[in-house]
Amino acid sequence: MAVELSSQLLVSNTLSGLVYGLMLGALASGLTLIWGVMKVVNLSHGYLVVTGMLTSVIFYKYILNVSPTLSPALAFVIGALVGIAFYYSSLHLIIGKAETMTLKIEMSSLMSTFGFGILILGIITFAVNRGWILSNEGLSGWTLSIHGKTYLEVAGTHLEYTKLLGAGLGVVLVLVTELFLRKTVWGLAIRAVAEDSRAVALTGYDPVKVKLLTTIISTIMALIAGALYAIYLSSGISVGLESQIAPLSFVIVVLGGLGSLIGTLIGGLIIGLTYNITLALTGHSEISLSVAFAILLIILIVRPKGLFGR
Amino acid sequence: MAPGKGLMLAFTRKGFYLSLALLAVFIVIGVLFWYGRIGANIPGYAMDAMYYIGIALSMAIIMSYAGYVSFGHVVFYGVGGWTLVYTFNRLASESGVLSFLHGHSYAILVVGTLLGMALAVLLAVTVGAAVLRLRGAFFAIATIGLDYVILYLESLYATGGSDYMYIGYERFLEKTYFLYLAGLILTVLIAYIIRVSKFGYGLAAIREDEDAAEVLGVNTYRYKVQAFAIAAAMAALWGSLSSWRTSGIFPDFFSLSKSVDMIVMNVIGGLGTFNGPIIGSLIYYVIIKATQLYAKDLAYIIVGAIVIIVVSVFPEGVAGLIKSKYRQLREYLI
Repeated sequence: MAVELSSQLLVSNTLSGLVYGLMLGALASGLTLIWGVMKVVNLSHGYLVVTGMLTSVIFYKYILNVSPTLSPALAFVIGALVGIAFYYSSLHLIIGKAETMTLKIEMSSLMSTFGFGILILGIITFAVNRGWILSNEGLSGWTLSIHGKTYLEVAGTHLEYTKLLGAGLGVVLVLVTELFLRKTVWGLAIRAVAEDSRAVALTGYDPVKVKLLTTIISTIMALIAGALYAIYLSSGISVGLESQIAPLSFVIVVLGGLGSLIGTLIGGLIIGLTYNITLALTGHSEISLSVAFAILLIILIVRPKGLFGR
Repeated sequence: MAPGKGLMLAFTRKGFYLSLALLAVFIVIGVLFWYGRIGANIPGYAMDAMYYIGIALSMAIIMSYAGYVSFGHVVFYGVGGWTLVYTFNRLASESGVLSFLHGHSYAILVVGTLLGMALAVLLAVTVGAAVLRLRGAFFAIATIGLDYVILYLESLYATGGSDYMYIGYERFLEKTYFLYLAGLILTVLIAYIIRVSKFGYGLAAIREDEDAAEVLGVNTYRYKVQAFAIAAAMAALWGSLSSWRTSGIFPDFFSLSKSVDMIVMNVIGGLGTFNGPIIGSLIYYVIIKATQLYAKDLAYIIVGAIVIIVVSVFPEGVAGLIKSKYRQLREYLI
């Protein structure tokens, strides 16, 4: 299956790879927060993102007919609720009292978040089996068009407005969270817990509250990013996407360095470009994904702190 | 008992009797089945149970004994199944390298299984050895990556041609039952010997505190790679047996969900004991079977809830529960 390689193909794949990369960075940003701050390797992250995607679809198609452009606001509310449930069901008993994360606690939290992911998968599968939602959802009938066109033409490449909107708002999401972490007292507390949980307790902040807050923010970010990814994709939204989102998020977080939100955007760009250019060269998305994971393996072994990690 | 004081002594320990009793049950079922005294239902359930115990024990060597949670273990299982089918349809076909085997299905089965195990070991000591330099969560994530690389490459190959998927030979359920039994006996013996040997104590030291083990003179890296290779070979064995039973491999043969099964069984059973993973796999099998029969829709919800509850409320699993509540039964766990 030889793909004719032209410079036009490379240019268009690079451009769409950039957009895709920023989207991927936003998708991974919730993971880098919970992993970097709390040392919780959240294996349910992919399912949380899928929950956000389905939130967008469900409110658009089944209830209230809310426009997908407003779905990030809904994802914020639902993300907060899911985040509270996530913390108290899967994390509180394990990390609530822990002052430092030992390897044992780290592995326990990894396993319990893994269980939470299977739980979400179970709930979605249940809803699909009962016919409440379709297994392969889409925002059918919804498009973005400006001046009658659904895409922006750059250097002969069609960049769809839906994709630009999804990725663009994704970047906004990451930047707003970064501002929150830098400019607010609670953001400072969150960053401080990452450094020294006990010292935070001494200054009068309850570490449990900070952990709860971190979990909620991370979950909200995952759900909002999911809602944006639904806008980005517009169709083919299924729980099966988790198997791409979750591993790619791990690649990106490791590339960008744990806990670095800006790093995730850069990591996302690297992976998005690698993915699309490999796709242009080989014509197989399987090879592109394999290359992304090969990068993960190499980075993990050579430089586990990530390219931009401290 | 001091480690390495004599293997024979080790086989008289109470914990091993539990496995012997379990094996005896499977043997009795097999004999009754062979002479046509019982239908195919009970042996079918027994084979499912043997399969779960087999894959749980293969995972236990790296996860329960050495404390390394590998999400990529299914790769070795898949390699085993894949190699067997490849041996049948390509290597031992009329024009293949091993054409002299053509038509002798059980000879091909043995050769294919051994080839699969060898390939799994090769993979374990090359890629696995690199990944084993990582610890804890990083190791877990790297193995997820490993699994996806293999999964995507395999699906790429699968779309290229589909004739490699099936084993076209006639099989007899009675013989397959005893093949499973042989596989189980081998798996139990290997796992048990590792558990009570000096090697097993070294792995336990790595699980409890790897740096301390290193200081005490355990060559931790070599131990880990060896354990990983043995675990890989055993997973390949079960992949091979199960592809023989189901007469081929399916796209899900490399899917992460099989790793999930193996991990959950070990979590339920509790890490660090020999009988824990066996008990865990039996409990898991009963749960899976019951949900399949009565609440198919709820399967994932139940599994997820169990994982969360076990990890946060009973972090040591069933084995830990027994250890703390019924001290007199401790010896049965090993």
